[in-house]
Formats: sequence, C-alpha cells, structure tokens
Amino acid sequence: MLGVVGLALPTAPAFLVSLGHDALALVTVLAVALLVGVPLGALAGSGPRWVDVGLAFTTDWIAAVPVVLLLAFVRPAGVSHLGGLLLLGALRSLEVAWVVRSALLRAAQLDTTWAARSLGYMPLTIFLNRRLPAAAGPALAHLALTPVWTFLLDSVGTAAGLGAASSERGLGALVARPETSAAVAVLAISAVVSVTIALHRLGQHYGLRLARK
Amino acid sequence: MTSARAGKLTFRRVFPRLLRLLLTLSAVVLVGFYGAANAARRPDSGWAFGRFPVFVNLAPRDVRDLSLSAMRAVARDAEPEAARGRAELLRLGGAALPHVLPKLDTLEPSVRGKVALALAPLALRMRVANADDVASPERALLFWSRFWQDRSIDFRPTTVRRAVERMAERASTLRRDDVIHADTYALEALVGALGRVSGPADIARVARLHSVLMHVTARGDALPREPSLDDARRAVRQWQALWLEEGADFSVLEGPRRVAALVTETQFGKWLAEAVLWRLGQAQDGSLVTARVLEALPLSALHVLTLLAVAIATAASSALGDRSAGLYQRMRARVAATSASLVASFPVVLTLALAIELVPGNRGVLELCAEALRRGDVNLMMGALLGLTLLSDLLVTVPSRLAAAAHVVDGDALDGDEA
Repeated sequence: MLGVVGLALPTAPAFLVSLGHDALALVTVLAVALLVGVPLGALAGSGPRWVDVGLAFTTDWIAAVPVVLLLAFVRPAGVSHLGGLLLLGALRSLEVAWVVRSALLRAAQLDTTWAARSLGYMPLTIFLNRRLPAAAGPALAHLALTPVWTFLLDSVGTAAGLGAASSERGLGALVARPETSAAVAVLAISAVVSVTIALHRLGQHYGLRLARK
Repeated sequence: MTSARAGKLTFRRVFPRLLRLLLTLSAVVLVGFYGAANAARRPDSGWAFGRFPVFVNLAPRDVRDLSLSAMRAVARDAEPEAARGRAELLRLGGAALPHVLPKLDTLEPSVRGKVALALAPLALRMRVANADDVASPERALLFWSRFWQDRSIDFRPTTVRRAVERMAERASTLRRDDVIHADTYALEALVGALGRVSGPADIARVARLHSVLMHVTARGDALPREPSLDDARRAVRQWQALWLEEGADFSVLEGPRRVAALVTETQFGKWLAEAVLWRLGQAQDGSLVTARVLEALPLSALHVLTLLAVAIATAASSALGDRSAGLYQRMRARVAATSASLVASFPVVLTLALAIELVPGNRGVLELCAEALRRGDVNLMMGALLGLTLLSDLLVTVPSRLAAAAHVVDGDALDGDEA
C-alpha cells in the first residue's frame, strides 16, 4: 500500500518511491515465475524427456554467470523497464521450474502409483493430487525469497557499477547508493525482510492446504 | 534408477556432462561477447576491432573493394575526399596495384593522370622509380603503364612467397629489394614467415623480416641492434596483430575464404583468433589475461564454497529446532531441498560472491569480470567469463551431489543431474 502511495504521489519520499518500484517488480516477477516456472517444472519433472534436457541445459547455462552480469550483457539490446522485469521473471521462473522438477523427481521416488504408471497409465488426478502438492512446498518456499532476490540483484548490480536489475529506483539501488543514510538502509532492509517473511507464511499456509487435499 | 552407483565416473555420465559443458561455454561466450562488444563501444576501451560487425559480416571488404573505392575517391574533385583516397591508396600499397593498374585504361584521361600521380609516393616506397619518373600526371601514367607491362608477372602469390622465403633464409640487398618491390602485396607472406621465435636463428630471421615490414607498412618501431628473444617475440606479435586487424585490407577474399570471412571478419571472429593465437590475449593494461584469471579463480572458488557451506549448514541446523524423533532424516531432507534450491539459485550464489568481492582486498574472478565489463576490456572480460563458467560448472556439482546423496533410496541414488 505504501509503495502504491509512493508511486502515485509526485512528492513522496525516496523510500516510498523505491518501495513502490520494488512492489511492482515483485508482482511482475512473481506472476511470471508462477505462470511459467511451475508448468515448466511440472513438464520437466514428469513430461517429455526433451523438456527436462532443455531445462537442464538452460539452467546450466544461466548458472554459469551471476544474474547481474547476465543482465548487463543483454541490456544493450535496448530492454525496456517492463522488458527488464519480464526478463527477471523469466530467469526466476527457470529457478522455480528447476525446484519444482527436482521436487517432482523426489516425490516420484516415493510414489506408490508406480504400478499404474508402469502400465503406461498416468491419470491426471494422481499427478495433481499426489505429485504436485509434494512440489508445492519447496516451490513456494523458493518463491517467497523473491523480494530478497530482486533486492540483492539491484544492490549488487548498482554497487558493482553494472546497473540495477529491476529498477534504478528500487530499494536495492537505494541502499547501494553512497549518499543513502544508514537509517534509510536499515528501513529498506527491514521492509524487504518483512515482505519475505509474509510471503513465506503465505506460502506455508497454501502449501499445507494443498498437502491436506 | 541408474545402473551405475552414484558418484562413479562412467562414460555414460561423463560424455553428456562434457557435451553440456561445451554447449554452456558456447552459449555463455556468445551472450557474454555481445555484452562485451557493446561495452567496448566507449572510445577509451582500446578494443581494436570495433569497426567490424559483432557476429556476422554480410559484406566483408577486401583489398579489391577498398582499392577501387579509393581510386574512385581520388578521381573526384572534392579535395578532402580525394586526399583520403590518396592516403588510402598509399596505405593499401602494392596489394592495390593488381586491382588499380589494369583499371587505369577504363578511366577518363584526366582522371587517369590523377590516379597515377596519387600512386607516385608508392613507386618511391617500392624503389621502382625516382622522383622525376612520377613528377607529373603524364609521366606518372607512362611510368605505371610500363611498370605493369614489365612487372605484373611478379604480383603472384607463389612468386612473392618464394622471394620472402629466400629473404627469410639469408638477407642480401637483391633479395630484400625483390620483396620491397612487391610492397604490401608481400605482407601475408612476410607475416607468415615470421613463425615461432625460440632461438638465435629465429631472432635473426625476425630482424630481417621486421625491417622490410616496417618499410612496406610505414609502421612499427625499429628493433635494437642486437634484439633479445623478447624483442623478437614482441615484434612478431605486433605484426600478427596488424594482420589480424587489417589482413583483409591486403588480401583478396575469394571462394571459401570469402565464405569464412562472414565470420572471421567480425569482432567475434577476431577475438576468437586472438584467443587461440595468444591464449586469450592481453588486457587493456598489457597484462596477460590467462595469468590474471588463474590468479583470481581460487579466491572466487573460496567465496562460493563458503556461501554454499553456510547455506547448507543453516539448512541442517534448522532441523534442530524441532525436537521430535527422526532428526537425521529431517536434516537430510532439509539439506536435500536446500541443495536443490542452491542448484537452481546458483546465479544468486554467484551474485552474493560478487558482493563479497566488491570489498577491497577480496578481488576474485567475478569482480574481474565486472570490472572488465565496466571498462569495455573485451579480452579480459571474455577470459574472466570463461574461467568463471568452468568454475561454476565445477562448483555447482557440490549442491547437486549433496541433493543426490541425500536421496539414497534402498542403497541406490539419483544421479547428480537428477537431484
């Protein structure tokens, strides 16, 4: 709410504006990561082999370079602010996809439906009721760390002189600037940690509900 | 289930891993080079190949295109353009003659004289004429017509290569003059004849070729009277660098060479050639890239391993909070889940390691990479990126293996890649 106020008011303090930018980034990145990452991970963990191989290769490739450097490489291509956020979302979705896929493979090791599957029979309900809830916990825990993730990328990118990942006016960039006071930095870090904890609690709640089903 | 025990090295495991590493390296190098080439656009980057396209050159220009274009510029009345054309003809030197002289007859008489006069300084450099022979447009035209009638047969690759080989073996005024008469047409053969430098005979050869190269290109610094091994090597490197940068300006791109030029006459092609020729080349400040990267790698490895250890230890200790039974299983499950997350979030681990390296005194390969990108130092950036990719590929196996080992089921385990 405070972030929305920060974006709406032209005379809002820098902290509120940064909070608004971070909120915008968080919503976009989370939405893309959920919409793309979870289905992709589900496909990689239980679908065609080529999806798994493709995801493994892409993760290998992305894992070789820090995200801030990767973003600095592609930025000259003229990525807009929204494009940058979507790119961040895509990178996050790859991470989420890998977590979901790993959780599904682990769940498959303990799965009691092997007899049905060995006959080539894989009803969607087994997948939805048994496998996917098993992957929900790790995926939601991973997604809950998104505010810290964007904050970290913004602050390290700014401090390293490579540019902020999500927004030059985000909390991470604000903290990395030398003129920012210690009080504002502590406030910014507290805000990021609070949002992360809130998301984690939300994730735990929905994770438990899914598992009970 | 895998048939081989987890952790055992088998061809079935190693081959796909190597293949993936190769693909990863290729992808990282391509994307990284795009960023590096863009960063090198700044004027103080020192990147010598900025005038080429980044990855594909659809219209590579060779000596034929350049010399005809310079000839047309000389023919124009506009003075700045004509002056540029004259300078370009002189730079292209003897290599331009087989393309310019046969075309003289196709030009208007007044233009013919202009072009012939523009080539006059070249005739003096080639030591084939004196100042009187080329003093006026008419005399210059007459001189060049006769020259081409008498000497066109000498402007053939095999003839020039033989002349250079003879001169490289033993210097004499006659042999030296044979090469100087060909001017830059002999540049490719001269650079090729420099070869490796490992002993006194090589130093003597380089000294002989170096003076001719200086004469035909009007570039470079003279070697000391008794050059050392390092002097000779430096000279060889300087001429190889010149050929790498401007080689196509002095040679004809035909057939397969023209097809290859689509890639070789690009920034990426030039960097790749430089990387292969000089083991990743030199940074902006003249230091060796390989040495700097190898020096910085262990520190980055230490930073990444510390972060991984902290994350895994935190995950394992978080199980202690719950006092119910099955502590070991709980710890194993948490380590497995965290390790899987760490594999997925490895770029974030690398970003954290970069944050550590931003603190003075902690400079590893990550900060080296970031610094090179800021400065637009392509060679250093690419060298650091290659080192970083190999390091990441090695270190990511730690959480990957941990995740696999934590899921041993009935004495068998998931492969590391499956964790």
